[in-house]
Amino acid sequence: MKNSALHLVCATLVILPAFATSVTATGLSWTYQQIDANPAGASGDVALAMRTGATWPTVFYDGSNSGPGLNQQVVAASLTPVGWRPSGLGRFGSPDSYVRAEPGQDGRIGAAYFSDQDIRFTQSSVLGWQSSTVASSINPDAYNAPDVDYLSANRPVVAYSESQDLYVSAYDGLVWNTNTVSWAPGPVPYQGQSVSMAVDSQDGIGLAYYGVNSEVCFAFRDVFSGTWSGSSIGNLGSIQHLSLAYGPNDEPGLAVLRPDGDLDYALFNMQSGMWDVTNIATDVISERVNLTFNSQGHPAVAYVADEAGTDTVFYSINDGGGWADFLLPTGQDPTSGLYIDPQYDTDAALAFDADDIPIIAYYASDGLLLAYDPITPEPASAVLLLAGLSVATHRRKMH
Amino acid sequence: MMGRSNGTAETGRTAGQCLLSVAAMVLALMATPPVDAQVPIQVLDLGVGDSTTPDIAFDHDDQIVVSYRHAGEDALKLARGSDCTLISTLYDLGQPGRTSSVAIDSLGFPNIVHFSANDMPGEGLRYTLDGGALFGVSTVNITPDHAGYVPVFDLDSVDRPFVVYRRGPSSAPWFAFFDIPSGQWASEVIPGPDLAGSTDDRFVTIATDSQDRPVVAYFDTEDNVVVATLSAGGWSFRSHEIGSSPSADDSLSLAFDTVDAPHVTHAVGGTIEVLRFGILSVDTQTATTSGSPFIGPHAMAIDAGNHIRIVYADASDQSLYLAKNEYGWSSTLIEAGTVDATAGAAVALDSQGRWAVAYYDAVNDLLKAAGPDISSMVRGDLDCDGDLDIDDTAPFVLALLDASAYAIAYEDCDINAGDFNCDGLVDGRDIQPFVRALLTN
Repeated sequence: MKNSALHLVCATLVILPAFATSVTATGLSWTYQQIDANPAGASGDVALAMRTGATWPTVFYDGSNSGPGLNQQVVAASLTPVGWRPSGLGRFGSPDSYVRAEPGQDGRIGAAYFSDQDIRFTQSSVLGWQSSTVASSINPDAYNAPDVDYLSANRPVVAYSESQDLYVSAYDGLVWNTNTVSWAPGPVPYQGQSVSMAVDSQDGIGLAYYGVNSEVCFAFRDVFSGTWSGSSIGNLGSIQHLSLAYGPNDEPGLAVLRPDGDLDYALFNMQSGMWDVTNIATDVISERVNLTFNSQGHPAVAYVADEAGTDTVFYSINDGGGWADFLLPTGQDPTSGLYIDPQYDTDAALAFDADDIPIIAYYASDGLLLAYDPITPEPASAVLLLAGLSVATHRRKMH
Repeated sequence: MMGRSNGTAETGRTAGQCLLSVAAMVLALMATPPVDAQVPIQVLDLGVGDSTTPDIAFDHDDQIVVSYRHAGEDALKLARGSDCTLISTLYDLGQPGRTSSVAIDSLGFPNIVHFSANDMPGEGLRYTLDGGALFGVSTVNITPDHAGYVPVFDLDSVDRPFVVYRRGPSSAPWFAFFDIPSGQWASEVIPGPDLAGSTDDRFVTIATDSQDRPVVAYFDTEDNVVVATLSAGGWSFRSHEIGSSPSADDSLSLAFDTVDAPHVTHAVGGTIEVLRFGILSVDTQTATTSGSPFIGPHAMAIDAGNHIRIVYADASDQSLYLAKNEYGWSSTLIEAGTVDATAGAAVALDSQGRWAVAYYDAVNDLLKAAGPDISSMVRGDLDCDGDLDIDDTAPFVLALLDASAYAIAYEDCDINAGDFNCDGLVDGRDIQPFVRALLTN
């Protein structure tokens, strides 16, 4: 993101009308893998990151009943040529770990989570999972939950909040250096909760959070001056969860999940200097979403929502022509034999592999699953095939 | 690797008994011929038993990693080279196949493919990941049935494994890969000409090029070398006639130059040839015509300057050589008179382009590594005068009985030189290999 474009921007809230018209399509095929047969997670927390050139998935989750060494642990399960290899990373917080994960630049992955009242960071290495404590004595609830990303040279950075103060902590190789965002002056209150963080291509740190003024705010730290600037995305009502990511040309995008199940997408428009907000889903049951851009700069999310009375995993992507919904099947997968109905309120963690194929991890009837769509290398292609079915619609829904 | 002496492990043994024991073994092994070493040689394992076709790779620290069958222990093993050789048994197989294949992934972990021929559940082609503290050590089946002979495998730049193997005589080679979307291994027949030879013939090999394309080379039934490349459009094939039929002990090896041109080397007909599959033609080089050369499926490597290294054994004198094409082809003697020419030695290059080979010393039943930068520590040199000779017997016995006394008497020496089996101890288990090494030197 070019921070100059955001300096002292008085952003205008524009909510575009949502079009709920849907069409149904067939021909897409998802494969399913069972990561953990019996995670028995009380929470639905799942995070997904891709290792080694966006090739190998690692799934982080709360392992309540996952076997010796994994019970009550934050678990990192990694797919390898010898199958899924789980590792316990330490006790998760009460009630949840609220784990989130991101890949580094060299194929490593990192995750931030609550372990009791500590905010912990862990990352993969040849020496095993290397973990450290970022902050202590933090009330482990969803409002304070950490988010993680990497600066250049694989330097991890973690953001979190406590008592409405916002913190960003970066690891310098020896210790975590914590910056209290709330101390900075600016046009928006640098106080809030439900923080989400992303790092742009110039090492600028972006924060999205629910401000103390009841508005969704965006703050940006310029890497050269070290100063924070910000803008308000607007009063969107109560906030369940935020997920910030950078798209093409470092334009920030934000997924906003509200307690009533509405899911909005906010994109900062460099030309207008405004945030464009679009409703992309209703009846979302997941308590968290993670916004992800594929390599072509298309934003995408996955979530569980009510579909005609059935909890269903949705994969939703905007290929430039509007948001298209792909519904994952329910019932029993004929190939794997797994029962793939999503568990109520589970996260649907989304990532893309090196070929932009979507991958989704979620809790299901048969445990923690990984859904992979090898038949749909380019969702835009599928959208083109369905163009005739979706004329004059802004949103499409495809099975 | 630091080792520890266990001065009390042999508490019942006196110095006199030790000397008698050593002397008895000296007499028993007097017939062992001397070795004429041209480059530093390191013994990786003892009593390997039967011919093994090892594979060698360098890890991220430029230390050698060697996979091999230990017939004496019925095990697939992995040797890691350092000042002291660490040997870890990965899996007790019952009857591991002669050929194993190793590659180092992006994290530096060894990945090994081998064939298990035992009659227990789990027989077949198997994949082992020695994933250290991150993933642990685990083995899975690639093929569930009793098939998957003479496997060779490679990893691409993002650690995707590709395996080529044969399922029987005179059929097309098979190709296995890990299907990440399903989380399972999958295999398919390569839809090209049939593979020559019988079940155990190592007539097929594989490598991945810089564009992550798996490339397979094999002898077909029409005396051709076939090069099969898997890309987005499927398999494509090229072939080149070699004029002679490979014998059962022949093999071929594959590597790429800096423009991804496949190079295939073979020793069919008593000549080591290198075929370069260029854009429009196949160019042939002759590496050597002397003796009766044999190569294995991991015999060739090409450095960043496109210099080719080929390790081969000459059956006429049971010697091991390295052929190089710097300013023309030349060969360097690695070890004379000890190798099983048909076992198949392996070569690898480190990050600086320095070579190392792994091979089976059939005369002394040893697995060895050699290369210009192989550890210079002379195993058994307990008086640290730079060689292993009869003068090392007394300090070796002292090291066996009293490490503290040894440290005082030989304060400038490293007691780990007596740790022949690299278990971190100098104890009774090192006596036999000490005597053997003493005599062979």
